[in-house]
Amino acid sequence: MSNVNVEKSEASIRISITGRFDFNLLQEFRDAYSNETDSSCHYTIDLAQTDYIDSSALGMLLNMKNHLGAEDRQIDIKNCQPNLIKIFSIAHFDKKFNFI
Amino acid sequence: MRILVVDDQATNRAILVWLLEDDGHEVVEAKDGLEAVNLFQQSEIDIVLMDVIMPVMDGLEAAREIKTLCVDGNHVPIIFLTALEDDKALSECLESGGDDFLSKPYNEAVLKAKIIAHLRIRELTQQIAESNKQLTLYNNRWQREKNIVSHIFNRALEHNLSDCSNLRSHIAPASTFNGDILLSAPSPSGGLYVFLGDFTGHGLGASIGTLPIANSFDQLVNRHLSVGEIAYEFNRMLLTMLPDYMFCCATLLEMNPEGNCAQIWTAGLPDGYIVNADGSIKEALVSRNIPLGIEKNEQFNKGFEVKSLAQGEKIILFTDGIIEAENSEGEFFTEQGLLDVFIKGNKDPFTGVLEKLQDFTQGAEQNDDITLVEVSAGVVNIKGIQGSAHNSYEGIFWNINFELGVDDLQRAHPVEEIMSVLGSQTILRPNRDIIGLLLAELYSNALEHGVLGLSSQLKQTESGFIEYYEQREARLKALKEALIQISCKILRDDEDELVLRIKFEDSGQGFDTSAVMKGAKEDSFGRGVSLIRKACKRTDFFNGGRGVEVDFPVTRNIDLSD
Repeated sequence: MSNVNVEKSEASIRISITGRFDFNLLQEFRDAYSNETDSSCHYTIDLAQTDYIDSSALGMLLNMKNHLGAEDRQIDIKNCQPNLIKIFSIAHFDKKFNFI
Repeated sequence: MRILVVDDQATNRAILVWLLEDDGHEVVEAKDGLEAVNLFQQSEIDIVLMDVIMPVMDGLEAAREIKTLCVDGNHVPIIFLTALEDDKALSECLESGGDDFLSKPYNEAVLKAKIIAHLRIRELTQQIAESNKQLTLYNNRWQREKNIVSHIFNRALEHNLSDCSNLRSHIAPASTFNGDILLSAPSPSGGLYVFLGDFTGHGLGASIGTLPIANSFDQLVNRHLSVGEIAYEFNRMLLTMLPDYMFCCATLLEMNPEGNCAQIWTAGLPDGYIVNADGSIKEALVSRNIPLGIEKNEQFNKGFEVKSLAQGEKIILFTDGIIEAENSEGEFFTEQGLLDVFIKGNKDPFTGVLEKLQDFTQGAEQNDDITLVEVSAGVVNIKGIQGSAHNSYEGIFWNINFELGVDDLQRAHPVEEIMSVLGSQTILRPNRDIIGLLLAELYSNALEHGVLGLSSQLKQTESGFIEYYEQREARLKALKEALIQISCKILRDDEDELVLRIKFEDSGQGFDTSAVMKGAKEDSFGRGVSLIRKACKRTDFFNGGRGVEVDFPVTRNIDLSD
């Protein structure tokens, strides 16, 4: 089973990560958003099943944001576990992503 | 059957012997009451045919004696054969313990019929006595086993915080064994976990499932898993253990240390409520999942809801035993009965519900287990746990060293293995996840910038980011000789604060640490080091980047905001 799962519906894409979110998912994670041509598409990253992230995952998320371009493009991160919330807040990600 | 014939007239006895032996009975003869009593004591007799008037001891006296000899449910019928016909004499026969009588001269067929009827009664009586004996035996055995089992359950269900000011509960099982289960524990970061479950049915069968849940709860909580993860583990356990028709309705919640946010996973319990400070309902907590023990692992939904809580707000959870509680008229308490309590101005709904329930049932027999729980918002306060936040430490000042060679570095997650050693140390438990992250980042730096000589400058562009990790993989695979030494030590630093001192030294060429330290916030590199610096009170690189030493304050509640 893939650790990066992509669900697409009309104008939104949901990327779910299972298990460890680190550089091992680099290519898979990148593929999840880089092939999309619809530039108005809304992205949600679901971390309900993610139990670990490290700084490389933070880097990957920032790459995604840069790739998608504009600062005004919201990316939602949802179902974040408490230990991950801590890491995101140390890195001030709460200012760059929309946590729901 | 063995029949005792008692008559002082030899001819009368001879006729009976002849008659009865013809029917296949064995006959024992006595010529008076005393001899009858003696014979009765010596051999097992099934029925007695007794004359009334005899020398030495008459039939009435003998009957009384014989009946007192019959103990332990051994019923031996006595039929009087008598020439007396007046009512008084006959009633004396029965009062003395006789079971029946027949007037002489007797009719042969009637005598045989009576013998058969009384033998049947004797047989039934024996069966009942035997059943009673068995029942007593089973009952004693059950009592003994019940004592053992209830001891085990009581021990298992001790996983409950008794002095947490955020938690109130009312637990009332319908029988000795409870099919409801309430567990609570402090989270490693100082928050609070609560699990409320209700197994199908009640009594011993229903409570069996509570054992594995109770036993694994602390472990899962100490790993600081999300409510969804814990639910997944419970479901996995119950799925393999319970028969298909049994399952467990449950709600799991974790409240953060500040007590202003709760993560909630629900499955099949009646709606819980978040109640406003004024007592009115803010929101219903509607069940989102199928009860535990049904869903296949692959289909299991670990998703949970996050609710923010204001000071004074309460979460009320309960099992269906409350809304289905019956009064003496057979009416249910109902959900509405419960909702009526949650009105503006009624600031203690927990007590309110219990009082209303008491009023309603008036002590009518309880058909199902009842559990009511209240979790109050606000800083989590658990007696005893608070103590760990102080700077006192009575354990060993240990020092644990790890040396990772090429084989170790090429394995998937060496840091996880190190954490499985460190994570068991009580002093590190509250900040286990942060320490894990620290080690992971320190390890990445030592391996990538040190041993593998990768430059973080590469990560400035997205394509470089990818190239960086491609090179990482290639260089790691080609690695021939390398060493990373890690030392983890508990000590008091210059300021007398208890710290975990972590030192990394690697066999690489060193690197320009200032470049890593400068990593701007907008860049996708340098983030690891900034995470480290944020969590530790001291971060020092030495030996040209080949070594780094950090001090992590283990008893401080790490403040992650600025």
